[in-house]
Parts: sequence; structure tokens; C-alpha cells
Amino acid sequence: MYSLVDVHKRYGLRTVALRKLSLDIRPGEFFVLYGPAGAGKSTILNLLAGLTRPTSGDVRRNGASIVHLPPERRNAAMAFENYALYSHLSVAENLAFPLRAAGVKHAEVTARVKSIAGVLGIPHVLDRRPGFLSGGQRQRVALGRAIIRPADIYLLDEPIGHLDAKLRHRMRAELKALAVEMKATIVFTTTSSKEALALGDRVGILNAGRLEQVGTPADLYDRPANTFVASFVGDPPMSFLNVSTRAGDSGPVLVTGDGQVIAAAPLSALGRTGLKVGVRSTALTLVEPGRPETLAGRVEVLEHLGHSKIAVIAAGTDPIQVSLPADAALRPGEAVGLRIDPTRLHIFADETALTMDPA
Amino acid sequence: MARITANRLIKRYGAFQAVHGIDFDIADGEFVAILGPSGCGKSSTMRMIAGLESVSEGQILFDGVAVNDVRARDRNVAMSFENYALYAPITVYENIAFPLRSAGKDASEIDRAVHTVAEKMELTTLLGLKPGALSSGQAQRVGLARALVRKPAVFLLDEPISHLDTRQRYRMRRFIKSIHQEFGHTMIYVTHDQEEALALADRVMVMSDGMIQQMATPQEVYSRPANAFVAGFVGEPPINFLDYSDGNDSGLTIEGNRVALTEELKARIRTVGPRGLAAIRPHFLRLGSASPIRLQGRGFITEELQDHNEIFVDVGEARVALVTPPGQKVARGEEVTLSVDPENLLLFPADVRVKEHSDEL
Amino acid sequence: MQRKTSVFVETLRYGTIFLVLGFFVFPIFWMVLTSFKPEGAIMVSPPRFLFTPTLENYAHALHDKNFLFYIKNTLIISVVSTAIVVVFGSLAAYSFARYNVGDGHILFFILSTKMMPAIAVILPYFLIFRDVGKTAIGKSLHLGLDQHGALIVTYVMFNLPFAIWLLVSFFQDIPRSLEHSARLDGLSRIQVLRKVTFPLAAPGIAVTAVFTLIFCWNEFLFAYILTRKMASTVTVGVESFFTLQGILWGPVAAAATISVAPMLIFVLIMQRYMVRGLTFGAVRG
Repeated sequence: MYSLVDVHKRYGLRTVALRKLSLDIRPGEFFVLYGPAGAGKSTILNLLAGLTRPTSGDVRRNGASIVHLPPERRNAAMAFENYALYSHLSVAENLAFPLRAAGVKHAEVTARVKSIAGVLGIPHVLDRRPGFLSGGQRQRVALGRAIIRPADIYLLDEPIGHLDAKLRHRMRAELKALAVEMKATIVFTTTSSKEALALGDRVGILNAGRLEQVGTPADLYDRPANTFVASFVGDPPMSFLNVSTRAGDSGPVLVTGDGQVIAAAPLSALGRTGLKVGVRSTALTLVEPGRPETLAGRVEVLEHLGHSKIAVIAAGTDPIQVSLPADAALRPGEAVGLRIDPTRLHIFADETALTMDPA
Repeated sequence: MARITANRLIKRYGAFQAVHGIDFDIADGEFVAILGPSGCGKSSTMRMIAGLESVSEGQILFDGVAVNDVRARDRNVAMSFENYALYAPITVYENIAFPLRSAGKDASEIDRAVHTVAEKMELTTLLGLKPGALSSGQAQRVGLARALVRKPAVFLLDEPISHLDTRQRYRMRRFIKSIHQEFGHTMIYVTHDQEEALALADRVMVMSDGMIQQMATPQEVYSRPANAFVAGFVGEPPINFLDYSDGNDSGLTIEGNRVALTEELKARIRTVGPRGLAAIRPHFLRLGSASPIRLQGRGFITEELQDHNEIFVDVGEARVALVTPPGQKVARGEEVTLSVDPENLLLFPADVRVKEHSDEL
Repeated sequence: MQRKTSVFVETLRYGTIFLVLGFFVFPIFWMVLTSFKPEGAIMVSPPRFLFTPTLENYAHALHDKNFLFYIKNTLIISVVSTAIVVVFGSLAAYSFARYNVGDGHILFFILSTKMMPAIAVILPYFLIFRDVGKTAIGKSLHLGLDQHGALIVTYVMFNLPFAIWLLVSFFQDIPRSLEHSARLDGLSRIQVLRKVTFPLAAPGIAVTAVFTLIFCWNEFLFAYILTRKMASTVTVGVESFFTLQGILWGPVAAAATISVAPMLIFVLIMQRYMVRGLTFGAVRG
């Protein structure tokens, strides 16, 4: 178990990388740090590795502080986003480096290098220098060097971010399978919602040095704590409608900017301002305009995604994305009705999620 | 507005030929995306259209008139760059007004034009700011607004949104699409991201190795790819490729699975040959034997992406992915049957390059 | 459709190359040629290209003037100076590159010491070494006038700032993550320097060593002022051929040829590293 306790990290005088951040990494879990560039993901990895020290706060392993433990004594393995390959060594020597440093016997080093190269699909480049590899191959060597030796914790900094789409998709599956097999504790950073959801046992969403929410992929997808998480998890992202409350026939209701009723308002929304309704593209169905209990909207933009279509519907005063089958016949400008699955509504006040009334 | 035609267009850099004599015809007001991996010749093609790069051989015509020797600034072409190219010391308003001022328009006309385009791009509240204070999404919108304000005949966009995060990308896509719907420019959009190309364009021009592989509507490029390269480059998750052998009128063998064929597929086998590549999109591959073409496999891993699952299954030597509704799972090593409808089984001549990972070329 | 280069353009190209080459190589060629000329064939007009070669000049330089003694002095002084410059320069440059010591100010100060022309500091140096040479420490370190230590200190002083500046950029080019990665693999700071950083910076260090050595080898002013006989270097040695009886051109040419040779060989050996050093860079995305 690794913990960051109230960690504050500043670079120089002005740049704040992390603000009072606390986080537990459980043994054997695949933990994904997901957030935009510059959110502080790499800083957390560096703190766990001992490559940098917190400005204040503590880093602990199994309850004991390891802040002053130098990196070479932490038994952590790391794959760096910029690969960090030794250009003066061949791929095989790069892969062997951590083993040699640990004093592993020559025959075993050779065997392990061969087997890891096979797993990563790079056995044919073992004799080359990193300078003669493609970006994708370099990234795989970097990943291989991180996982080649047993470590207490594996820190992987966007290890598949620079691969092409095909390879990234395949490597994602292989990485997950490998993690399950190794039962290793892994901290993995990414800027891709798909990678976060596919890989993480738990995911921490990082924004401007703060953890917005930590939870299982299902937690984040179904119960986002705030609008940042809601809009950052899932592809296409959640759409938001600015709403207010109003008295309806059977209790208070939520209405759009142009007065259309969306749903009954939960008690927690009453008297609040800055209300937003968030809805995922898959929780919406398009129906004929004018049907009861639907929102009136107009098709603004249609996007073809091959297997499906995304329609951007102007409803109320906001654009809403709706996923449709690829053969859906719609034209820009067409009037439509929008039916929202009431069980999949998310209500936010001042960007923070409100509790829903028990059904 | 302009119709753009290319005639046997060639671009050479010294001994290296980047574009190999391509032909295309882009209709007036059409939105075309040029899609391809890095080094495919897409940027050279766009720069030749813009006049930033000389044409080595062949012709570029605007409305039937050759423009090979017309200078970039005389072509009435606007271009938006990935790095926005905004002028830092002046406000957003002045940045947008800049092309009009240099064209010597009068103040009231400029003011009207700037406000119209700013409103369209949701920049009205930002007009007084300097570019340094903008987020990357906002800066990109200012860049687009500045390109738009002079009412160009052709609007070229070079990877304008590839570095934005998912939310901003969706937003910018909507902007770009609505600009096109509203102003009706001929638009050419260069990208390596197949999703952007499909989402935005009326037609997609898929390029590779300096040649056009296919130029067709997004629907067609996705469902009826002209060759294995297009099939592999378009679609997310990427298409599954499997080797097939012993193809004849009685069927074909995919990784040990003997499969019967429809008349259409038999005809296809006759042109492609007894050995080749079978390609199936992850969205069309199903768990269970509901469809007539069936493959036996063993589960590798299931990824739960909340709104859908992606399941990886080993079929013989190949590992295939399929997209299923949430809830469907396959355990590691579990024996499963996968099936696909005949119309979703694509057959291509064996092409070593697409089987290999493109980044190893 | 390959364009064919015309014979004319080709001729012009090679003509230019030979012209430029001639301009740079001719003086060396002339020096070597002169070193083999008998005395009567040297200062004649028109110059003579055909003569009976003789080793008389070499005999004079090596035997009568004991030129190998100067070579030995130069070798000691240059190599020791260069070694000191490379070792301290690398360590200093590394800390500037990695820890930004002094926030750039110290680095700039170090360069500013280079701004002083040699002639401006020569007199203070002379006085300092004269007095230091009389102290116990000065004696034990051979720091007095006409002793090796004095010149070594001077050359280190003059080359270190330049070496640091050159090396800082080489170290900055090595991604920090390379060192981080090695430390996570269990190497200590010092081991990381030895096994990762310095091997990667080797081309840069080679370039620095070559420049420093060339400077030391060819330096004249300090050597002339700070030495008399015992610690004189080749440049000073050649000067001693300018006798009251006249300049001994033949032996001068022979001595010059002898003193150029080691440098030439050294640079040829180092060329491989230097080319890599000038186009240096670690693997990046």
C-alpha cells in the first residue's frame, strides 16, 4: 500500500503541481491517473519513485514514510513518457540494464530479455540502437525495460500514448492481461478516457493538481462527482443543459432556458442556482417532434463515425449530443423530439453533483 | 467559392517524390477531408492547393483555371494552422480584424464583420483579451475566426484540433461543421485522425504513400473500403485482419474455420484469389452463433468501457476484438463462437504491409 | 525524370573544391616541402619545387636544438591541462545543467572571465607565479616561473570557462529521465554518472578535449613569458630558431612539421567522436 498524504508540490516559486493531495494505491491494483496535460500526473509518479520530494506532506509505504528513501532503494520500476532509452546501448542492452544493475546472472538476463521482447513484439530489433527504431518500437522498449524485473510498484507514464491506433488498441489488451498475470501494483497515466476505463481497477481523475474523484470506472461513469469528471469520462463526452427549477403540476420540475420541462426536480436542487442537467449520448432517444414528455430540438450538426452517427441537437439553449445508428436518416435543420432516460440524468449545482431522490 | 481540380499532380523534393500524380475534383462548397498517416503526402497536397508549395508536375485548377503560377496571397485561400499563429501583442478583436485592415476595409465594415464571426465562434466575451490569456481551444477558435473573416473562396485546415482534449475536440468539430453549413465555403481538412475525417467531411480522401487510396463518402469508406489499407486505417476500434486460405466456390478457411460463402463472396474470391486477408469490423463481430459465418476462439480479455465492452478473442493465430453491449463478458481461455454476417466479411488480396503494424515500416 | 548535371557544372564544382582545398592545404604542404630542402633551395625566387631532399634540417632541429625536449614539455603540459579541464569541466557543467546552480548567474560569471584578453593579465600572472614559486607549496607543485605547473594552471584557467559552456549544452541534451530510470533500477548517483551520463556525454567530452588540447598545444604568449628554458613548449622552441645569425628556415620548417604531427594524428583519431559530438542527441520522441 502506497499513500500520498496531504502532498503539496511546487516547482520554483510559482508553479504549483499538486495541491494538498491525498491518495492511496492498494496492493495489486491497476490504478489509472487520468487528466489533461499538465494536471500533475507525472509529478505523482515521480513522488512515488522518489525522483522528487514533496514541498510538504508525506509519501508512505505500508504506513511508513519513505520521503527520504532515495529512488535506488525503493524497488520501483518506471516507464517514461519520453522513453528514456540509452542511445549508446542496443535494445537488448537497454532491456537488460535493470537486470544487470540488480546483478542478475548473464544466462538469465539473456533469457528474460528474449521473453519480454517476444511479449512486446520486438524480437527482431534487439540488436539495433534506439536511434534506429520507430516511435512505437521505442515506446515498447521503454515499457519492456520497466516490466522486465520484479518491482514493488510499476509506474507507467503514458506508456502507449504514442503508438498508432491499431497498436495502441492491441497493447492496451496485452498490458491488462499482463497486469492480471503479474498481480502487480501499477500506476498508469493517460489522457485517454478509453484507456482509463478499459485498464483501471480504480481511476483517479486529476485536474490542475487536485484529485477530482477516485473510484472504479463504473463509479466515475455512472456517479460523477462534478461536471469536470462528467465531461471528462466517456466518449463522446456528456452534454449539459442549463436548467432552473419551477413549480409543476405534481411538484417542482427542472426546466430548460426556454421553459421546457425535463424532469421532476430532486429535493436537493430546490433553491439552488447554477443548475445543470448532464446526460450521456447513449441515454437519449430521438422521437418525432411534439410527443409528450420530450424536449423539442433541432438537428444542428450530424457526424458520421462509421458504425454510428452523432447528432448535435440544439435543445433549449444548449447543444446536446445523441448517439444514433449509422443508418439513421436525419438532416441538419430537422425538428426532433428528445426523450431522456430519467434514470440516467445527472444533476449538478455549481459544478458539483447533487444527490437524486430515492426512486 | 471555388471548385478545385487536380490533374496528375506530382510533388517532388529533390529525388524524393511525395505525391505521385494524383487526380481529384472537389465540388464548389464541398467539405473534403484528406486522411492519412504521417508522410502520406496529405500536407504537401494541401500546401500545393494553398500555393505555399510549388507544383512539380501536373495542374491545380480553381474553377477550371490553372493556378500553378498564381501566388498564395492571390488565390483567396484561407488557412488555419495547428499552432494558431495569433499575434500576441494585440487583442482578439484586432487579431480577427487584421486581415480586413490589411485589405484596407473601412472601420464600420470591419466592426460588423468581426462581431458577426465572433458571435458565430462564441468569442464575443473574449474580444478584449490578448491571445496569451486564452485556452488552447479558445485560441484555436480565434485562429478560425481570423481565417473566416475575409470570406475566402477556399478554407484549408491543417490538423486544427488534433492536440485538443476530447471535450474541446467535440466542441471544435461542431464549430467547424456549422461554419461549413452556414458559410458554404469549399473546405479541405487535413488530418491523421479517422474519426475527425468521418465526422466532418462530405467526402474523405484517404491517402497513403503519395497516392489516393479511396475518395468517397464517410459511409462508403467505412463500409466498402477500396483496399486493405483503407479498411485498416478507418474505423475505431481498428478492423480485425485474419488470413484466409483455400478460398473457392465451396467456401474458405479462416484460421482453421471452414466457412461457406454467399454468391457475392464467391465472386469476390474469384477476383482476390484463394489466399488473402479477411477483414471484420469489431462492431460487426458478435458473440454467439447468430450469424452464418462462424469462428471458434478462446477468450483473451474483456474490457468494460461502461457504454460498451470490448472483448479480445484469439482465433487461431490471430487476436480479434469485438464490441458488445455492456454486460457481455468472456473469461480468459473460455471457448467461444463468434459470428458475422456475410455482408460484413471483407476480403482483400494478401498485403503484408497492412498486417504488419504501420509504425514498423 | 532525373536532371542530368552538365560536364561544365561538374568541372566548375571540382575546380572550386580544388581552389578552396589549395588555399587551406598549401601552407602546410609548403612547410613540409621546405623541411626537406637543402639550405640553398629555401629562400630563393622563383620558389623551387624540384630539389634533392635532405634530412639535414631534422637533424639540426632534433640534435643541435634538442627539439624533442620541447615536445616532451608540451606533451606534459597539454595533456595534464586537458585532463584537468575535462574532469572539472564535466563535473561543473553537469551541476550547472542539472541543478541550475546559481540560477545562470554563476555560469555567466564564469564565461565573463574569458572576456579578458591574455595580454591584459600576463603581467599579474608573471608576478604571481614569480612569488608563488618561492613558497613551499609553490615549489612542491612546480608553480614557479619556467616550471610546468605555472603553465598548466594558466591553461586550465583559460580553458575551463569555455569547456564548461560547451559541456553544459551537451549535458542539457541528455534527458533527465535517463538518469531517473537508472536510479530506479538501483544505481546510486555516482554509478549513474559513470554508467549512463558520462557515456552519453562522451562525444561532447571528446569535442571539448580536442579543443582544449589544440589550444594548449598551440599557445605561445603565456609560454613565452612564463618560461625560459626548462618548461618551454614547442611554440617557444621554434622561436629560438630565430637566431642573431638569421632565421633558420629549414630547421624551423622541420620543427614545425614535427610539432604538427601529433596534433594531426590525435585529431584524426578523435574525428569519429567529434562528428558524432557535433550532431549529438539522445533518443527522443
